Amino acid sequence: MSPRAPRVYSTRAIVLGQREFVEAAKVITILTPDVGKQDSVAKGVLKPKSRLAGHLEPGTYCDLELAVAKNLDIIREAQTISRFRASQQNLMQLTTLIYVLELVDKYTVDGTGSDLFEPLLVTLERLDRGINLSAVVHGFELTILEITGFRPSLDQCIHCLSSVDSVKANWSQDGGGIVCERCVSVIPDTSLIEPRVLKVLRAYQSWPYEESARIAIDSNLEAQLSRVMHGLMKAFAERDIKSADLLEEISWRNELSNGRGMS
Amino acid sequence: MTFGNQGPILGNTNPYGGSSPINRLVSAFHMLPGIGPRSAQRLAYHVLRSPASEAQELANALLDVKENIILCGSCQNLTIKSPCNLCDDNGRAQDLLCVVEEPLDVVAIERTGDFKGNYHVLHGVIAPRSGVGPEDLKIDELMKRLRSSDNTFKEVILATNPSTEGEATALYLAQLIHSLDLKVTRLARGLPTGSDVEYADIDTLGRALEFRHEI
Ligand SMILES: [Zn+2]
Ligand SMILES: [Zn+2]
Repeated sequence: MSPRAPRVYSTRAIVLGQREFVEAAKVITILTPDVGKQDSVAKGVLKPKSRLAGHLEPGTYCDLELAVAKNLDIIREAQTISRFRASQQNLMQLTTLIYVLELVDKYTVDGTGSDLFEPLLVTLERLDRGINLSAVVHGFELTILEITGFRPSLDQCIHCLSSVDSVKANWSQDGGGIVCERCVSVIPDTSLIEPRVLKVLRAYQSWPYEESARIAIDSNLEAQLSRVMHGLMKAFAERDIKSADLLEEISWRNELSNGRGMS
Repeated sequence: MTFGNQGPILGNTNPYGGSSPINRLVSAFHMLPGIGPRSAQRLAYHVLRSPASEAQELANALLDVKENIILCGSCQNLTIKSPCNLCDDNGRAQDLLCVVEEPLDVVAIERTGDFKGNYHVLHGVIAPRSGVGPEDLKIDELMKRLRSSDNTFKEVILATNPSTEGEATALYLAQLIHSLDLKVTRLARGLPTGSDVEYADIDTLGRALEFRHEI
């Protein structure tokens, strides 16, 4: 082998996003099980005959071969394992897919997030089945918070750590959890949290998916769950999560037009 | 004039560094999409070598674009007068509207010669990761056109790119337009996933339009 041949490696990856780069190249942001989030370069993908382009769309689960380069590694081969076809046909599913990708992107920096790979993959597979979206997406949100060290406190007061069994509790978005009656005066910006919402969130946080997916969620409850979780995800990411707003807008319009939301 | 070694003139290889006129030009070219630092240098040196009249023409053309190109009040395409020539052409089918991402997509579809309806240019796609939401696109303008009492369109073709964001935008628009009881169609598969309408070859694009399907 010539001493100048680049070092090449293979990896599974989930494409998080892409942006245009120089010439016909794009920078592809991927999540891999070993490295986590990393930017890489795909050359020539804007050309119509590109072999790579179809395998690097956001949300694609693929096998990649990359060559180590001085700055960004270069994608030499790409093969789709799954494009989650069903999710591409339905507005709610596709927007949810875009949302979970944005979450991973906003909750990681380059070189972190390898432990989010398997949970993300499982989430995309469940999402593709198109059922129990509430348990799928909120379960994933809670998993991200758990893994990145922001596990919300749903059983204990965030201030005095006393356990709160009652479902009648106060909620602190910035504190990331519930506040007991005694502490509510010392924690700023609390609001009452719907007992049903707290109950379901506790289940999503601690039950296995197979069980939590069985909980019946009506569209009104789902709207409240989304509002609480989106608020939490934005608060801890410390920036806007644009697709969360889009999801709320779409659910709201679904609701208007046919009186049913996500279930 | 000879420039021999390029290094000393630029001072350093950072195209944003320095404030000499040539560095300023290199930086300006580098800001253009698809232009890397090396291409930016090449363009800057080309300008430097060419006669002053050519440089003047380039400068005039740049300013002319900024001063005289507007968006068509109807289709939102780039134009020098509103309504644009396409919207003004009564020979085009008044019941068919094709929605595209970018002005260059109109050029690509016109090149096929297969489409005789009207257009609407969104100026982008829904791309939350880049901070682009529906409110940043010409969607309100589209819905205003379709809701207007003198709307003649019966079918809306969604010709956004077959990319994740292009599909999401198409599904989003389909939901909005369905509420108006209009037929909504999407370009046929055949345009490869991840490809760009703007770059598609004429035959493929023509076929994708012909075999569009209802969504
Ligand atoms: Zn307390
Ligand atoms: Zn026009």
